[in-house]
Amino acid sequence: MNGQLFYLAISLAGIAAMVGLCVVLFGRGIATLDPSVAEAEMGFEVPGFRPGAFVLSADSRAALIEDAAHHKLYLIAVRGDGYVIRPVSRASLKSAARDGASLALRFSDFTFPKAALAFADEQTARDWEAKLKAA
Amino acid sequence: MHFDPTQLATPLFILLVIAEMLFVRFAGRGRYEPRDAATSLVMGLGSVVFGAAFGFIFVWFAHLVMPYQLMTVAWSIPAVAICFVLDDLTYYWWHRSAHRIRWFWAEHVTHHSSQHYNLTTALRQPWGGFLTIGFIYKAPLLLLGFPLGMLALVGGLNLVYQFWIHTEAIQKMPRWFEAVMNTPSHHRVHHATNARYLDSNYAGVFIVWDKMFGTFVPEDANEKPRYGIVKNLATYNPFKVAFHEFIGMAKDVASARSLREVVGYIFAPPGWSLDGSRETSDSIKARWADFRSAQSPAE
Repeated sequence: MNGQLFYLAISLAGIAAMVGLCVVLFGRGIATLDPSVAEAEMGFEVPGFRPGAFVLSADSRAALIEDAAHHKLYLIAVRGDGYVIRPVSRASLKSAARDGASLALRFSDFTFPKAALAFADEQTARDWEAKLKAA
Repeated sequence: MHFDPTQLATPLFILLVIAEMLFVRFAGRGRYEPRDAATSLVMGLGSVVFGAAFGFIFVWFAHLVMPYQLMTVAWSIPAVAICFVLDDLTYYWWHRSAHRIRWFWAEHVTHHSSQHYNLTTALRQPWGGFLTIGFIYKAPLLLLGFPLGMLALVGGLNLVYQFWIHTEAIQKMPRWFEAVMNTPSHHRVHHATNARYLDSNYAGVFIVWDKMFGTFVPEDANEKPRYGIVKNLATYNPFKVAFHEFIGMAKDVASARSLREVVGYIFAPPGWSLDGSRETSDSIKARWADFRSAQSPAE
């Protein structure tokens, strides 16, 4: 038992050391979004994707984008140095609540339960809330 | 005699991860992200813990099967070599099932859940093997008479071999090697979500199985692999990484309205749904093929 705990402790210390080295070498590696990145990501994810309406959150960490070819909405969010994309539809979106210039989205997805997007102005949040609810 | 190749190779794994990190940093080929690497490493450690806790299930299963062995294979170098090759063949079929049957995918998806492809990805191992009992694929080897210890040895060697192929640092091995063995290039294709690469290169050690059974796809220099899963995870929580697909499957089964739906949600390919509203790798490939033919109708 003591041997197993020792093995566990050494392993955890080894993991901490390797992650520490990773931070030193690569930093925190946070990606940012802009329209061209979002379109490129969507182009890969959805063959035949044609960019439609687009809105970027104020912190450039998330965006809502419309696929004009298939009339679908997607959320694209930064995750580490990459991105995660989710279609936004009646089936996937549990709720979309607006608070001033911010939107709080809840999804029926265990691995991506919620997203918060703050916009530059309240009207943008209002317009996208309407789009999301009609999706 | 207790000889665990994986445990013995662990210091080498650590040294190679460090060497790859330095290579990626200074040569600029490959990607590392600390939280992703941390998740992969924790998943690796967790799989050792879960394996130790639930390994008795495989031993129990083996003892159920062994009375029906057709013969007894004695320990010898040729026997180990034959066992290694046959074990890799069973690995191929298990691995193929793990991508085509949701029950097995629920476990295996863990290994594919990183959007990075580096040596830590090799260590991102599942915790739920005891739930899916994929070790039933070892039954033919037990029935042929290979000792349990020999299966454990060759299984460990297989796992050790597969470590080094999880890298973008190596582009291509010599042509003869690429023809026979699984390599970083072949396995990058396996981890890719590009439509053309989906459901290919299931080999563990010998890529010849994919060539024999029609699942080989070479890496195309013009199409860089993008790694991860069709619906990438937005979490680094190891428990969610390990069990998210089991939970998704349970939720689907709970909402099923017919036996057909229950069976489909468990045994059909990942992404299956009765109304076809979700995406499977087959539907993604079909949509991609349609798009490509629309783009270049003359081809």
